[in-house]
Amino acid sequence: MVQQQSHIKKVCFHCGTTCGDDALHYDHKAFCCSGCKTVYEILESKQLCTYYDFTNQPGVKTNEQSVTASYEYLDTETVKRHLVKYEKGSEMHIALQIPDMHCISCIWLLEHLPDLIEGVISARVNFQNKTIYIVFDNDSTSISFVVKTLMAVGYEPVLNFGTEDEDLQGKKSRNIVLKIGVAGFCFINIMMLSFPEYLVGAGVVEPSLALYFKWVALLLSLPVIFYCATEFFVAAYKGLRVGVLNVELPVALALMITFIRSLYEVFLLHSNGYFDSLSGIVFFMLCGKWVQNNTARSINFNRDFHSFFPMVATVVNGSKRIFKPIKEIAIQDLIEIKHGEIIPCDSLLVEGVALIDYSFVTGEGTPVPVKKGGILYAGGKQLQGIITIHVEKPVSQSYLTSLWSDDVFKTTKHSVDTALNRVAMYFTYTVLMLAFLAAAYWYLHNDTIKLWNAFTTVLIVACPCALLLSEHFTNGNILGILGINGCYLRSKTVLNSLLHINTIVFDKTGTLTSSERADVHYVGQPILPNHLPAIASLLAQTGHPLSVAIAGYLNIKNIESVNHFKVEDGAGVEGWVNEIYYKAGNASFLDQSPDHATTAQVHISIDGVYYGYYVVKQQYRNKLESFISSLREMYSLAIISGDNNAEAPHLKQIFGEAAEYHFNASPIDKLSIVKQMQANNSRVLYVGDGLNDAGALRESTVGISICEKNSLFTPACDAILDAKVLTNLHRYIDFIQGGRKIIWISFVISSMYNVVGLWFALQGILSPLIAAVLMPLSSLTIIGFTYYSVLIKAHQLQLKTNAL
Amino acid sequence: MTVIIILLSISILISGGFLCAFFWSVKDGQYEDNITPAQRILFDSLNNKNVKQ
Repeated sequence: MVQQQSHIKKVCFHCGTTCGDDALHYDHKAFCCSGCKTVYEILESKQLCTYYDFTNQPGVKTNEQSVTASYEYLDTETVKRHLVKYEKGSEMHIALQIPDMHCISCIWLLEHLPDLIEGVISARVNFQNKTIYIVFDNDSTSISFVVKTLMAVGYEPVLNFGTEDEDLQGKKSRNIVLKIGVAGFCFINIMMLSFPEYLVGAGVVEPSLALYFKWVALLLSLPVIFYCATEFFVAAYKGLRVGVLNVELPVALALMITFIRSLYEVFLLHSNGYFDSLSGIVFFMLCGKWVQNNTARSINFNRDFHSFFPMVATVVNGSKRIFKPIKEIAIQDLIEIKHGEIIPCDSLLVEGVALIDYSFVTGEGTPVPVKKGGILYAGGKQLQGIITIHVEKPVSQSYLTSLWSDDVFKTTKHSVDTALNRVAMYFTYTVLMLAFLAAAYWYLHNDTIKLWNAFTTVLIVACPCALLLSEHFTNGNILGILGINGCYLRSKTVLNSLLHINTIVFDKTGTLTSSERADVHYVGQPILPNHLPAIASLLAQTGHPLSVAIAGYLNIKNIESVNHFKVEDGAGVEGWVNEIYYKAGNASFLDQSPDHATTAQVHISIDGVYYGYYVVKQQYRNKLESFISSLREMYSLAIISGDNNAEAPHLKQIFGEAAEYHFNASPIDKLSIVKQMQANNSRVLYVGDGLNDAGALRESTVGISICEKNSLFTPACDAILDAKVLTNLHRYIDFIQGGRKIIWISFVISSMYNVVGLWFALQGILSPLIAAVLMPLSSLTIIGFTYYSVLIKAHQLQLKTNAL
Repeated sequence: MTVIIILLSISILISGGFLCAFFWSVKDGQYEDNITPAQRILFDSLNNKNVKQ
């Protein structure tokens, strides 16, 4: 019993992280780190601990770097202009994106911001968009203070200038909701007016009433055609202008002909027209569109590299320092780059000692020292001290940008012209032809009533709306369910492209291996514990994956300052900590005979005495083997890695001999390898993680970017996959394949409606009224069928869904 | 039968009123966020409980 008790896991009261013996205690509660404790203290001092009543451990771990960073630049006029939505006197309205909000406690705390910060007048959360609208008094507080406080309690806002587009999107979705409302209103009222005729047939209703019904129906149909249906006409027109018969065309045509025919009937034949079916078609089509837009909006991630670059740079002007937004930086500007900041554009080093980490650009983790007058490339991260640089090229022309805007990026990927689209097109042709043939037939038989009947009923009854609906609804539903499961696709065209994949290429580090888990152990003479902080501090100076892994393994929180720090490219590091000389690196760097190591090793010497080495074994993700073996049968596989081939034998065990292996590949190599594969008729799915995969991600048929919890940056790609669910990828592809089948089946169902309807329509004996009822009925059948069959498919594949 | 014409006109007018209300609610942003308002209801009661205690 006693033993059991000692094994009870201590969990951080704030964020729920399991904390070991080094947990901090405050107020009889355990905290995993000083960050979490600080948040608790802040909340306690403001009596906001109700925060902890709604959910257990609601907190988010604070990011120490962001908390200590300076946000003064947010208060400069140029930056403010982008952030402030509305200004009246000293009252300011800002909207901030906070991706970390996740539960009811978050909403509570964020809406109690006025209690936390003096000067904040109100705060309102939109949980769906993860946005907070803050109204504050600029005289008593400032944007930078609000942002800093939010950071301090663990809610880091995303600071970029890209919010204008989101406003536009919001407006668009609002518009479609309004259109649905109007269409629904008109549809129901016209149905009500037509109801007597549904029951007893035309001509029986009292003439004065019939006249009234007719005119009101006509009036109600006007907003449907001229307001609600505009986007179908616009889309069809746009398609026609570039010579494409897109799927909206038959809809637009059917709508137009039904409307004109109805007008003709009302004015010349004095009968009723088909306004009910007209508004019904528009209503259902809009509903389908809305579902799709909604899913698309919730997974919008059009982040480009600008969102990962810093927002502003410190421009040196004589003795003054001004903050300037990156986009406004001009050639010849002098910029100051502080420790840990990213170089925004290609430039020359004017002052200071530069040690630049280009891992974002090249994938190589070893920092590069640059001397005065040397060239610095955009995307590099300064690792030591402050430097002043002279801008040579504006941001949009820099090396990094040019990598991104390589020809691949300019042409938007040609969406695979799917079999479905082609079928829809033939369908349209057939329907048009049938309609005209039937009209011609009845014209030859001199039967004008049947001629009109046949012509319009064929168009109405056989209109491929149900077919289109099935695609919209199924795809929208699939995108939504994939989103719930941590896989976000850019658009539904990606679904089609994914099904045509025959080759899968994986990046190794960060994709197959987890950056959070590395197996480290030490071999050699024991090192005294008092040396460990110094070693960790030395290694923390570089961003090399091996150093990061060892520093993480040593788990030292207080980094000490390192003097006379030196890096030898790809070999090792040395420096003085507390008057002791430390050296860490590969075997030859420490004058050891290189044994034929198959593992990555970092050797250590202290004051010139050799101790031993750390072995770092990168850990592959869970269930990787079964995942890969299920892919091996279907696809040809390849691995491209920026690292050396130390892991090759292990990888061969998992991937087999048939797979392709490329090691020591630069981003350009990755791009060209993918290019070559595509030239050999492979359709490549590239799975990568960093900016160094950006080119390959864009070049491939489908590029999936792996997103680890900690890394906020994701390069432009077709899909983002949560790192935790990488090994479910094959199931997602199965799911999408299932979706395709569902669309085909619903196509058969809607065709059945069409064939039966056509059979009667061609003979000219189908009344347009029945055709009008058949139309929405088939749409409803399709909606119900696709919705439930997608759910069932998801259930079979054990994917999470929102449905009960 | 003219009464039907009057009644129907009234019914369309009333439903037109509802359509206006719908327009207003959309423009007001009530459909922007379906989650937060539902959660916000819970806050006050919890706050009050704390006050009582």
